[in-house]
Amino acid sequence: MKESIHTKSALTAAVLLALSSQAAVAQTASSAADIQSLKQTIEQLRKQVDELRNTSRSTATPEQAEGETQEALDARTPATKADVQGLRADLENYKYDQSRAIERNIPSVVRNTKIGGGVTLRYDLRSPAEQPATSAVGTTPAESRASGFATPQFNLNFAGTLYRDYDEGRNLTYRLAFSNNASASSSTATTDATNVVNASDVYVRYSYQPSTGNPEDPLGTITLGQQVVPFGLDAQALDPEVKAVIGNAGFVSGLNLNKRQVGVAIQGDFNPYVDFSNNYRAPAVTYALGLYNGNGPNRVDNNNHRDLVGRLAYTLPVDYNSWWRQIQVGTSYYLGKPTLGATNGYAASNVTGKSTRTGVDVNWTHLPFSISYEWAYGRDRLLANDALVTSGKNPDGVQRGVGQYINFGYTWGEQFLSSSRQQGKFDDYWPKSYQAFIRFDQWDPNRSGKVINDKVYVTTVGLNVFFAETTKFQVNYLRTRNQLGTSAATAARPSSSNGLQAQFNATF
Amino acid sequence: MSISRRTFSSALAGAVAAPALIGLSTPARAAGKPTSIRIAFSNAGTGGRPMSQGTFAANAALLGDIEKEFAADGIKIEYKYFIGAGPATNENFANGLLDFAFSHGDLPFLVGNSTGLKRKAILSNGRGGDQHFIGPADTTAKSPLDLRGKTLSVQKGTAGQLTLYRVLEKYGITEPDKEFRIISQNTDDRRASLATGNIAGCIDTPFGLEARGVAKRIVSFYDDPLLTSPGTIWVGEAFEAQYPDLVQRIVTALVKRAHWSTLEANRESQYQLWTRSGTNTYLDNKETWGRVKDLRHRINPLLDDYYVGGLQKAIGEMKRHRLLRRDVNLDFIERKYLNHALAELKLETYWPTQDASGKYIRT
Repeated sequence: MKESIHTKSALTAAVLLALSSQAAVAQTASSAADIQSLKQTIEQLRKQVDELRNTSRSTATPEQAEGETQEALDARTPATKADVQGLRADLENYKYDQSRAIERNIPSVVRNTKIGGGVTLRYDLRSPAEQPATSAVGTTPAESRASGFATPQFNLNFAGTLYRDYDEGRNLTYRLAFSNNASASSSTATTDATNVVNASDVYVRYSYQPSTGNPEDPLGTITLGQQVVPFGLDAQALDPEVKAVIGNAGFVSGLNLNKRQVGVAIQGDFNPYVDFSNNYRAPAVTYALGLYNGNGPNRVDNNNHRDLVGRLAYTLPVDYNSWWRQIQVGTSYYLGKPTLGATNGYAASNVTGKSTRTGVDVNWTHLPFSISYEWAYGRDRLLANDALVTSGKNPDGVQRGVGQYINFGYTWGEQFLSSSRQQGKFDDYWPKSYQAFIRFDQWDPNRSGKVINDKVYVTTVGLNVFFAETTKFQVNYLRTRNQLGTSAATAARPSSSNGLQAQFNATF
Repeated sequence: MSISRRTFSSALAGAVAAPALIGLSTPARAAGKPTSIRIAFSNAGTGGRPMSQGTFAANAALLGDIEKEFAADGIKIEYKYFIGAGPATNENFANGLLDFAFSHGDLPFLVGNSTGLKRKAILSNGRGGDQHFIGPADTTAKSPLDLRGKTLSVQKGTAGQLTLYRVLEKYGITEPDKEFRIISQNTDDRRASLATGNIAGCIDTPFGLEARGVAKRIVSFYDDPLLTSPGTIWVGEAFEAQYPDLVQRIVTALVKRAHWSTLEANRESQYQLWTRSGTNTYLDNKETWGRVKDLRHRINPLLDDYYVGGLQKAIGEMKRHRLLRRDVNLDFIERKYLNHALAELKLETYWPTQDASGKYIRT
């Protein structure tokens, strides 16, 4: 473009110069030498004009020099105004399509929100078959049942930020989840409890410590609402997406730790040890302190007493490459004051009871190996007219239960490595992983010396296959042994039973 | 607990043996040749694109050099581009998932070695480069000294952390964590924080941010040999011990591509290749590299005195800033593959060499 203007200017100048020179010659009739000189000048100007023309042509369509790469040729090929206008039209079309899609096709929310959920589908086999007389929650068969399909859980959740602190990340967030999981059920064990959708998580959470993602900062949150109780390890794994074993340990339901509670909890850590060379963070102390109604989810409190729960855990401050990495020792305590009699319909004789739960846990996760051990002890005051008291089985009016498990795991694959999960990929990549485990679980619901032969031993061998980012397939084989002593085995309490569970858990 | 010892032992043995029984295992490593070679880049393109840029090793990956080298052997080449940068490369190697890294900064490489990761440095992946200390668009700071007491951002555990400390040291700041609040963020988070004004300064490529009006250059340094330190290309010791011939073939292919990358005729080709990653625009690549009249000054695979001196300098700095908890010596440098490749390609004296301070010995 510029070259073209220059060419025209030069031509005009040359012609004007030539005309004015010729006029001067005519007027002055100077010497032939002058005329010759002017002719040479004109000839030089003509040459310059030709050169400019050639330059203009060569700039518009440069020729590839010998040995020159296409990229180098492209680099000295100018774009025309039409090229730029075409590019701009494409850009404007793209901008229009984007704004139109946002207006018409993309759902919007009032506040920052993420929508998630999950489905769990299961097929199970058991031997001996379950009998109609068995009264288990949601699974009471009409006749003998040795196998069947189930949808043990589905859920839908919403989570987001209500207030964002851009300076230090002291954000206010929320979570609202609905589920058919028994841990969210307000009713006691009714037949249809697992088929009713209830609110599971309902809380707002404030980060009182900075949460900018700086791993050296301690974390700390206050959670107000309905939530999982921070007791031990297995009792906090109530939802299928966070469970390595399909079923919880015996003490979790035995000590009534499998329910969400309504209240407030402070959770956090301090003095984190950070190995930046591997993105590894190990907080020296993790703590939790909660105050709850104590009578389960989706209910108003039924008395004037709050339950108290506390948890402390210590993690060894070592580098990522140390064999001692991620060794954590924790202890938990729960103090509850339930109203005794209320659930049994003895309203007139309601008294304030006392329940305590004490737990100790040790966990070591050094991929591919993992070992976790947990012990929990519960103590519940009984009503004076409770059958266990009147029969003399628990003469001191206190029922004590104890349970423990140990789990050995071995993992192949990269699912649990942040480096592998955060790889640059074009596709919907997710590393596949396989996790095999064996768990030995023991639960003694009543330790009274007069209640013997009531222990339950469950050995579970399983394989989890993580084949997509949020999807896993689980197979568990369970061998359950009931301590019978001199008692005879019954259909409801056989000496042993075998079970096979195949479960597909997908979250989105 | 009444679980018998025999039951427990049997179960544990079963759990450990289960992987073999069901046919799950890590990729086969036969004595003759591996089924795959796993190579890391401690970076990824914008938005997690599986691409690197700015080095001859990136060119080798973009142009499929290693794949071509092993096509006839049936060995699969698996590139991994880690958004988590150098620390992620360490984590992946620590879990037995890598054979090579084609880019690794001094800090994560040295700290990883100090904690027991066994690797051998076989090439340098480049040297030099520009450093821009930038702030939010409305910053009035003229130097890092004007930001004392404020928040700076860097991805800790990466080479960028030492680079930031070196820039601050130029201004007499020897204890940066006392003078500033230094937080750890990855590149995307750091750029978001710049836009919202939640950090006061960082080291980053300024061009795209300035074009969007969210950042401003406070001070820039161009190819300062005391600020930068050569990156490393390494091979895992176990792989190197088992397949030295394969290591040689990879090193030779890389040196060949390094030579191609220094040729002026290929300058434009590289700008356009690197633009694919989205890390920098074509214009930014042109501006950044246009100042480099001789590409050999940056694209240099040598393990010369400058490379060694850079690592020694980094060790001293890391100790001073308490980033290194154990001693580390430099016996992991293995030059035989590089020397063989240089001789084979007749490039023994092609690249300039520098002393530990960055002064050119051979130009």
